Amino acid sequence: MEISPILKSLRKNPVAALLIAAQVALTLAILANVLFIVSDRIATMSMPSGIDEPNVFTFASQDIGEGRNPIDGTLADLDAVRAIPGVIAAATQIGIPMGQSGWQTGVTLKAEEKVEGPERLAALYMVDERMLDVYGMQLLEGRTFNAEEVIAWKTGDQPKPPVVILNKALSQKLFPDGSALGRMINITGDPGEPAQQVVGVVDTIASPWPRSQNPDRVVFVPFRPSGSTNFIVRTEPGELDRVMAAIEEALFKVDRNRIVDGIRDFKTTRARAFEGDRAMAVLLAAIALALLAVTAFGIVGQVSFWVTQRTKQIGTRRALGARRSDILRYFQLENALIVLLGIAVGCTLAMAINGALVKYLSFGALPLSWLPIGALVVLVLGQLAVLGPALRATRIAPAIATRTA
Amino acid sequence: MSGKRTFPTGRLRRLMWGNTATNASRERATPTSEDMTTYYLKLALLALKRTPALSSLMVLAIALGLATAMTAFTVLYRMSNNPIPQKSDVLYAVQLDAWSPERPFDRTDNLPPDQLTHGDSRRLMALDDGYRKTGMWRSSVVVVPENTKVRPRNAPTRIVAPDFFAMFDAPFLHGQAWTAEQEARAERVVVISRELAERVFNKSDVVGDRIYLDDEQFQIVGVLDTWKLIPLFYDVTNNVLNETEDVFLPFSVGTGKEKAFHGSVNCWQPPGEGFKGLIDSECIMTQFWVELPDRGARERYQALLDAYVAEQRKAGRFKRPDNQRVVAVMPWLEQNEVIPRDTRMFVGIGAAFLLVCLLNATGLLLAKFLRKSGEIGLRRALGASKREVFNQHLVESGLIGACGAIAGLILTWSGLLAIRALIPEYQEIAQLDIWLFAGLFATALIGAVAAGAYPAWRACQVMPASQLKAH
Amino acid sequence: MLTMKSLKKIYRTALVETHALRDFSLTVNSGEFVAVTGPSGSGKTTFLNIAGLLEEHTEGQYTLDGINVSGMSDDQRSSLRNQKIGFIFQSFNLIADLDLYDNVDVPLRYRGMPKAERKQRIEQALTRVGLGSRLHHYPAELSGGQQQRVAIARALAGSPKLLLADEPTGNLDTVMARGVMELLEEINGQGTTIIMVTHDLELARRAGRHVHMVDGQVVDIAETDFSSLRAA
Repeated sequence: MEISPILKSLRKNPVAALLIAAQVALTLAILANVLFIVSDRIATMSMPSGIDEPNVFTFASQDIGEGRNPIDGTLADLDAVRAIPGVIAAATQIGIPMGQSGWQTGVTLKAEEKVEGPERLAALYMVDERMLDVYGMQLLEGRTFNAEEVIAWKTGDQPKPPVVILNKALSQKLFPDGSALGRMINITGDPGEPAQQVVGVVDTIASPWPRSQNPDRVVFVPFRPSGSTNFIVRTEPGELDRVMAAIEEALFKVDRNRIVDGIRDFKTTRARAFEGDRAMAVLLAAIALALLAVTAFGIVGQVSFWVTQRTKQIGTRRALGARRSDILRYFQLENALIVLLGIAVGCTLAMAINGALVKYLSFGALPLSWLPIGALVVLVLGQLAVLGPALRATRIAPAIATRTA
Repeated sequence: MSGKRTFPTGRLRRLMWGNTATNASRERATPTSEDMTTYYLKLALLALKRTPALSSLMVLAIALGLATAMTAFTVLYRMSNNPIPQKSDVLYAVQLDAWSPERPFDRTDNLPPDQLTHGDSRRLMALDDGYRKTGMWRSSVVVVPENTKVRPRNAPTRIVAPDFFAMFDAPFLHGQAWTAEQEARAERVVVISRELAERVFNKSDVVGDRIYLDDEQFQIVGVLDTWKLIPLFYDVTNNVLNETEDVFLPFSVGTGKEKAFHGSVNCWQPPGEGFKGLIDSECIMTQFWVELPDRGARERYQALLDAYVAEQRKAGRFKRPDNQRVVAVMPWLEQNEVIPRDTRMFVGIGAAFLLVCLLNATGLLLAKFLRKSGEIGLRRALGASKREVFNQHLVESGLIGACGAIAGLILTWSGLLAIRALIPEYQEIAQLDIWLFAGLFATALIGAVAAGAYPAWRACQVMPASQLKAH
Repeated sequence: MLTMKSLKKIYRTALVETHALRDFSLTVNSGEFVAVTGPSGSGKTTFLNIAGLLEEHTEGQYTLDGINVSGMSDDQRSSLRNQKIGFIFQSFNLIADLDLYDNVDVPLRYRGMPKAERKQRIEQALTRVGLGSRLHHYPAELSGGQQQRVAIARALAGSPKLLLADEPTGNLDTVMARGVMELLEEINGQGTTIIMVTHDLELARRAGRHVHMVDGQVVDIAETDFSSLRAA
């Protein structure tokens, strides 16, 4: 099929074709950006926490009044929780992956070194000797804390431990060339030589802030938060709901003068952390679908009109020997040409929109690979949309040519 | 003129065709615009009915575009809400820069820290400058009900100076704020919300009653009526979609009882041990607001801050260049980027989508109008002017726009429901108000008429002669 | 009624210049029934378009009912068309979406008549052509002859001085054609000037005057004995 007669006919009556091309261009530009953002959000949402997600839950306990000794009280609470059937491990904690609250500290390697930017910040998790069991993590190197190293901690205490454990990401950040084991680091900001020795490295575990610039760096310190604090519990598979239901009663047996709240499985914690991302992904995906539908139906409507308008012309072509497939191909090719023009403009526009998102809203740069994907989508969309009207055009009888309208 | 002739039926023929010589030269009356608008509306409705598929396609496209843009815009608009319009020009957040001498708090714009140290808040409150002012922080207390069967619960709490209530127009239902003397003596007094009062006491007028908070009895001096501030601008380190707190405690009491800092505590050097070490450290953890009624007051207060910083420098603090300032409510929200970047992006995408939908409508209207070019040519031949043809088609576009607006309203409403379902804390944000409602209609009509302008112009260019050709 | 002096109409495209009318002159008096004939491409349609103010002429002078229409704006032409001229087309050109009442209403609307007067005129015009009982039928429900009658009613409802008919019987069978022709003659008999373009010589001979065109010029004008036609 010759392209030049199609081009000539388009050039003669350009506005309708340009409208479709403009629509395709904008559609592509929006689509590429939306798909990119949605896939980025999905990637963020599926970020690994590094813990045994299906079997972990957390809650907060708060003592009322000046009743019991916070340190002994917490030990009693922990014993009570561990005694619930189905519990593998329990601990008080500061720092739960994706929990969105916790501590963050600067980490340095030398005296007088300054923490310049977020790249030297890490989440600080307070854990006890059961840390591997509680989170369901893997130890990569060295050891975990001994029971003797774990110190009770109350609000207001400054955590200045002699030993720390790093997660893999922080270890690689601080010591890209070798093992972190035995190395000294400073996590307190105190002047002088670093005073914390690395005794172990654990596998991936996420920080409480998955949307921050350093979502994956964690330093563990051997403290047992006591008194009013947060707990983390890991259960046998399938026991989670039962243990969660039993937790309040177990703790009230230890001491009634308390508040137990925020009992939350990790699934909920994760969902809360990514609530905004999920909402945005759902809304943008809906927009993308609506956008494709609007553009497709727009093309169907306009091409239908062209078919009506060209009835006589098509009949004449048929009378002059054009096959049905020639008519079909004419419309398909015409649509492809228009869509290609739209794609050319749309790619530029997509980069411009992304440029604005990067510049004003500090979104990520659109990888160029999204453009051909978007282009392919609109091209296929255009072809599908034109198919119906074009097939109708092929059914125009050649006899139309000899008839008066 | 529109001379009215009567036709006696008995002489019908004669009158109709016989006396044209005397009557045909009369002036053509200008159609009244009302008449014609009604006529155009009738024709537009007819056109809508004759092409139901194409018409509903356009209505749906406009509705979808409109709903997307409006849903996004509603969130943006509600987020950009001025929470306290009557006072947003006189309330100022105070910013001091006692941050690390090594590096700025804000590496891009060198903004001062977003909070003050507890010590700076204390000292600024102690200044005898005559302005209403308050340092504050968010915390929580355990509310222990009288009825022992009801379990104790945490209540969101704000630690404030007594000026807080007058500054932020807190609506007292009963009682009033505690006095400066009570503040100074750290008396166990409290202002609570109506909701908390009703929850604990089953009534709202509980002024003078006592309430157990944590481990102590407090005397209730005031009850606030339901109080919404959207966004909750006075503390941007917490979620600005939080509701106003249920419990308000004196600053001196909160400090004495070592109430925890909810929000953020940010340090550039390690604090000392315990609560005492923390509140005397350089860590920032309190918000500070001042009410400055006019420009003169603002200048005087700035001078006062400058003097305060100079004096503190003598004590070895404030090692960074002068960067103390006061910021009014709306700039404060702007500066702290209270509107999530996702919302802005969503609005941009929504607007672009609306544009696609309008382009789509333009294309379809063009097709629709040109399909009727036979009728248009005929109307032209029968004496319709270009303007009349143009107007007729603009009315048709407008009608489609109006239908799109109605459908779009329903879709916007569903979109907002979806947002509320997806993000529960947007309950108050994803709401239509009368202005948004009006804006939605105006946008739809203007958009549809704009989309219809070119097709209508093309329609009125149809040559009347095209009709005369015998096919 | 209508005077055309040395009219020229030239259609220009990039390559071709077509002289559709060259030095065309014609005078039609009030009350005349003029038939215009000529072979395809002789300029009949162009003449009718110009006479009906649907197109502008390139050169020359055209006076309609004492008004020089040369150089008039589009709006003035529309208005003049609306007041003075009624059209009847070969293919009727009724608006399929409108019923008979609304079809006849179209030109009256643009004249801005009060509703009561429009109603009266429409009903009378349709009654006049024998369709008074079918005000709210649609064109598709009528025969060709009836459709052309509606078109005539539409042309007459505005009391035009000049009726322009383009092959008014071209799409009709002989019986229907005769009916339409008789209706036109009757209208003419009541004083309305009619110019009818046709290629049917027999029809042309029934008109009061017969103008024959070739290559955009008048080549022959034959007066017909009006009274004898009437008698027939």
